[in-house]
Amino acid sequence: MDTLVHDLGIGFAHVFVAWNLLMLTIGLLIGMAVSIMPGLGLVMGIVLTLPFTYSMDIESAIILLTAIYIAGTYGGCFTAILYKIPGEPSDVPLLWDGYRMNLKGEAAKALGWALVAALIGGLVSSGVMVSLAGPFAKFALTFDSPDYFAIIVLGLATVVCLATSSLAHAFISLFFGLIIATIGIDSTYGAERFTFGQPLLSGGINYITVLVGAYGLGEVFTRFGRTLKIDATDEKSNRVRTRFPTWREIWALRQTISRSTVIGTVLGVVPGAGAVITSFVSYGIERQYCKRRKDLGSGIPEGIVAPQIASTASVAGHMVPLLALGIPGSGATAVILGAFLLHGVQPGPQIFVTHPDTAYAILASLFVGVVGMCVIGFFWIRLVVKVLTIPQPIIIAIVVLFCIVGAYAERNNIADVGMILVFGVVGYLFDRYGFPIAPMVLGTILGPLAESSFLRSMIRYENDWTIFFRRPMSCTMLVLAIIAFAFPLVSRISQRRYPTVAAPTA
Amino acid sequence: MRGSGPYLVVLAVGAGLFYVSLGIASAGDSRLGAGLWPKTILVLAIITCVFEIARRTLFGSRYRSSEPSKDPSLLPQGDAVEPQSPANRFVPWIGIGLTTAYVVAFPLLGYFVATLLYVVAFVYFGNYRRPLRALAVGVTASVAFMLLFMRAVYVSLPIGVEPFAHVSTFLMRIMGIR
Repeated sequence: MDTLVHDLGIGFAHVFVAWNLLMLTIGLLIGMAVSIMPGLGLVMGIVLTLPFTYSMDIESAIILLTAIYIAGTYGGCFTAILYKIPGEPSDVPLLWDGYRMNLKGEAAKALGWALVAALIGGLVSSGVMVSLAGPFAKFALTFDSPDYFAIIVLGLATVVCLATSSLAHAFISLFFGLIIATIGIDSTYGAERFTFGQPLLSGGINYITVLVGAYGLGEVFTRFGRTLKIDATDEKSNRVRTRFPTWREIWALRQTISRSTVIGTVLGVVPGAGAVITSFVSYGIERQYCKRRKDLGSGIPEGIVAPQIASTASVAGHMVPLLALGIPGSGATAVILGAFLLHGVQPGPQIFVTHPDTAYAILASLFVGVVGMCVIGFFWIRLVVKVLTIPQPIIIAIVVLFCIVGAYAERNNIADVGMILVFGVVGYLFDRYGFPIAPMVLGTILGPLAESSFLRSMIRYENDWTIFFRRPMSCTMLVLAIIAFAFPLVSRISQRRYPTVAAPTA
Repeated sequence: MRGSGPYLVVLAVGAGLFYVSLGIASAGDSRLGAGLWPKTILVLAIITCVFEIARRTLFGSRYRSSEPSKDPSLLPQGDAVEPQSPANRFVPWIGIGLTTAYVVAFPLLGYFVATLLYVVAFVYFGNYRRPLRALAVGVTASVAFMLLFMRAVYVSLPIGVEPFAHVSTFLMRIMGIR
């Protein structure tokens, strides 16, 4: 415990270096700005900022990107509550009670609840995950390649089972991503795969290219020509100030707060279950167990607190597996992993031994980021909300420029730009035909890790595939993966047999 | 067969890639070889497609009734999540075409000229029908990005071929970019 406090103290000292603090503040502002604009989103914010981190040192770069990630889970609550515009998909549950509270003339209180929820969720989750990071990393040092393979399979299974569209669509998307990851020269045997004699493909396709193309350009093409009707000119809403709930009111919601913090933190660790899933699951749990569940959707604080706590709590839940295992569980952490690799640092259990200062500075930045986000949210959000008045075509044109120049900047190669354009079209087609993008992206990211772990296991254990079921860790993970794959099928069958009654709407 | 189009495309591509994967150099001994992993993925993809096509063909109407959808009970009535004007399904292809033209023109016209033309066209066809403002946005964005990337991030953006290179070098001189 003393060591943790000591290491974390050093981490805080690194965060409070002027340059790092500036990067953190810029990151929080960017995160807030992108999260209030429908169509931009926190992943795109992180992707677009990545090229600017090339010339930074690793600490500043990761602190900047992490700050965008944290603030991205909170900024959208303002537009959801005040203007009925969910900046992020994770803000959709906030519409149901947050906007209803606004209609009842309690907008200031609703904003106060969202702020308190983000603060509690962020700090508690960061505290829990940071205290577990060291032991988690030590435990991870005992993992062998079959264990890594099983963990990755579980991650991919979760992404597929959590996909909102059809299971077959999610599988196809995943397989597409896994195949993209095989393009180039195989790292184990040195054989060329699917290069078709093209030197461009010999080096493989960087997953950042897939991310920028599918998430960035794909979204731009989907939105091209549409006019988003945003009315952020309501003077009454623009003048609203945040009003905090009393201690007594907060204490009265202790059960909701506890449940949502646990859900956000635990689900955050699960690969694929990002802020969106945690936010919806947490709201759903409240609909089952909240004392005032019948009033949910009519504008009560529980409907704001539950999704907001869970989505902010999921950030720490995602960051720790990234640092301790080197496995990203979401698009945002995948880009942050990319930033690590660009700076020549491989996250994983060893990072706490080889780069302890960097690891703990990043963990400390979670705490500072959560507090800073709430301070900015309290004082400056009305300025950030002004970005909503910029016409959508201008915003998406600027996004394209960031995507294209960002892709070009990495190697000064126009072929890289062509590649993100290809994945932009793929992203658009996926969206058009209802294929989820997340499994493809995570397949591209986790595919090489899965393959190398699998082949290492096979080489080490002489092609004995039963090794995956003979090791307790890998067996447990694979059983969980099978459950994850079976879950959507079972739930659909049960839904068909026992159709649920729709919840009362507001 | 309704809605099977994407699966037929994936099936055809998957089969083609499987054929290509047969030519991946094998390890030649007891080792599994570099082709095992992609072949496994492609087989799984093909099985998924065949299963889905068969399901849609054999149980089309029943299948559609059980098509998964977002839980309607989660969306209270009257809460339009993102009110948007309806878009023509071909409109995005204008955006894709413009972006493709931009990527092609990028090294030829140079960063400034290509970006200026692209932003003006993109903003205008993107439903912002104010040509003068679109031009102003184009000029501002091109100059701002040039300054940001060439002066702050030190990215060497293309200056283009003659005579566009003259424009780029002239602007770079004005901005103090070397």
